[in-house]
Amino acid sequence: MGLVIEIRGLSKVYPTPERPQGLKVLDDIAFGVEEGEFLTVVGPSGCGKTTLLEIMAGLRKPTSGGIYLDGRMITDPDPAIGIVFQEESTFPWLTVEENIGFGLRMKGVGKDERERRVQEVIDLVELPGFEKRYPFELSGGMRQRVSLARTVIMHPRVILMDEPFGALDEQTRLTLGLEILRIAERTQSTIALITHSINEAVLLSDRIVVLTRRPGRVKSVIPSKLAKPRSVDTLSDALFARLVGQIWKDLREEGYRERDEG
Amino acid sequence: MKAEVAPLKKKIIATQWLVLAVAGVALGALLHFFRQPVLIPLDQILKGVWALTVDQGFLRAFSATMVLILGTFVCSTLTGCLLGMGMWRRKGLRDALAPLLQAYYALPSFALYPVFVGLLGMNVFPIVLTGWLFSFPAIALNVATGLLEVPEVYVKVGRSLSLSPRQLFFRIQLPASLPHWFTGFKLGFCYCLIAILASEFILSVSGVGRWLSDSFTGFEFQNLYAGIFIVLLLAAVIVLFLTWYEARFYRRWSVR
Repeated sequence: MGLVIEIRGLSKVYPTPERPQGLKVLDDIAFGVEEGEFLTVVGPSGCGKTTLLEIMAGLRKPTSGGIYLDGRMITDPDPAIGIVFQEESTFPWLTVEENIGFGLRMKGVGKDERERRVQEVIDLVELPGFEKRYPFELSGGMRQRVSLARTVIMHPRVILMDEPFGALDEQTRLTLGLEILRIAERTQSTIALITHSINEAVLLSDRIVVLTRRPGRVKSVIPSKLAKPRSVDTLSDALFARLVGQIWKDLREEGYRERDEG
Repeated sequence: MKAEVAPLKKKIIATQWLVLAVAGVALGALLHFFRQPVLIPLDQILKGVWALTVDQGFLRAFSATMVLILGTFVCSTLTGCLLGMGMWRRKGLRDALAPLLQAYYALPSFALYPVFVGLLGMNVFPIVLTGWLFSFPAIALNVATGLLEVPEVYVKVGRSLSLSPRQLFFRIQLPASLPHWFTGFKLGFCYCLIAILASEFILSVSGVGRWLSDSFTGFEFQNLYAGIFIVLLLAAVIVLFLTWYEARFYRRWSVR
C-alpha cells in the first residue's frame, strides 16, 4: 500500500499582535496516510489538531513544509479530499437528500445520476425514509450522518474528519464510530480522524499519531493490531486496554511537561 | 417536540386574544365613562372603510401614496442591499458606518423634513428623501449582519467542495443569510410607510397622510379611523406577504 497523503516538515505560525515572532501551533510535522488506512491524530487541547486537518484539506496555508496527495503538493481545497466538520454543517434550508446531493449539483451532475447516487449513499448511512426531512427534524447523530454522506458521495480519495462526534453523547459516538468503520470498509476509503477521545482513537484506527502540546509535534505513532471487524466487544480486549494505556502515558507526559515548564 | 410546542402556541394565541378583548372592553368602558366622542364604534369604522373604497378622492390619494411608498421602498432596498454587502466585504467601511447607522435610529430624521421642503420644494422629493433616509439603514444593517453571521463552517464546506466565489455566495452565503435580509425588508417597508404617511400628514398637498390630516382637523372621525384602518390593513398584508414570500423564496432558492 502506498501513501495517499504525505505531510512533510509542516509548520504553522499564526501572526499575533502580542508576539512579534507569532504563535507557533505546529512544528515540523511529518507522517503519511496509507491507502485504505484509518489514521487518527490525538493530542492535548490546543496542540493544533484542527489546524493540521484544515491544512491537509487545503483550507489553510502552512507556514513551511507541505501536504502531498499522491505525490502532488496541495495548496488549495481538492476534490480528492473530503472533510467532515465537528460543527453542525448541514444546510438548514435544504432537505436531507438536497444536502447530500449538494456537491454533485454544484459539479453539474445530472438529476438522474444525482438521485441514484444520493439514494445509494442514503442507504449506506442508513437514513432511508428521511430524504425529505430538514436538518432541524433530525437528531445530532443523524445530522452528522448527513454530513458524512455529503462527503462520501463525492468519492474522495481521502476523508478527513475533525472530531465529528465531539458534540454527541458517548453511546451515539460509539455507534456512529463503528458505522463509519463499516462505511469505510465498504467504500474502501482512506480516513484521517482528529479526536480527543483515546477510546475512539484506539477502537477505530489502524494507526494513532500522538501530538505533543503546542507547538504540536509528532510524539509517537502507535500501530494498532486489534482484530477486524471491530465491535463493542473490542472495548474489552486486552490489547485495546494496553493501547489506551500507552496513549495515556504519552499524553500524561505532555501534561507533566506543561506543568513543569509552568 | 412538535406535539409539545402546539399546545403552548395555542395557549399564547388564546392569551393574546384575551388581552386584546379585555383591553377593548376596558377602552370602551373608559370612553363611555368620559363620553369621549373621538372614538367611534367598530361597525361605523367598517362602514367608513366600505365607503372609502368607492370614494374617488380617497382612492386618488391612496394610489399616489402607494406609488410613493413602493418607489421609496425599492430605492431603499437597492441602496440598503448594496451598502450592506459593501459593509460585509469591506471591514473599513463596516467599522466606519456601522456605529453611525446604529446611532441613526436615535436621530429625529423627521426634523429634517422641513429642511428638505426648503431645499427641494413642496413636492414628492422631500417625502421620498425622508422615507429613504428612514428605511435604508435598517436594510443595510440587516443585510450586513446576516452575511457576517453566516457560520464559518458553511463557507468551509463550500470551499472544501471547490465552489467558485459565485457559487459560494449564491448557494451558501445568500440562503444562509436570507432570514436577515427579509427582516431588513420588513423593517424597511414599515419605516418607509411610517415616514411617508407622517411626512404627508405634517406638510403636504396630497396623499393619504394629507387626507388623514384633513379628516382629523375637520372632525370627520369616521373617515379618519376608516383611513387608518385601511393603512394598517395594507401594512399588515404587505408584511404578511413578505413573510410568506420569504418562506417560498427560501424553498425555491434551495431547489434551483
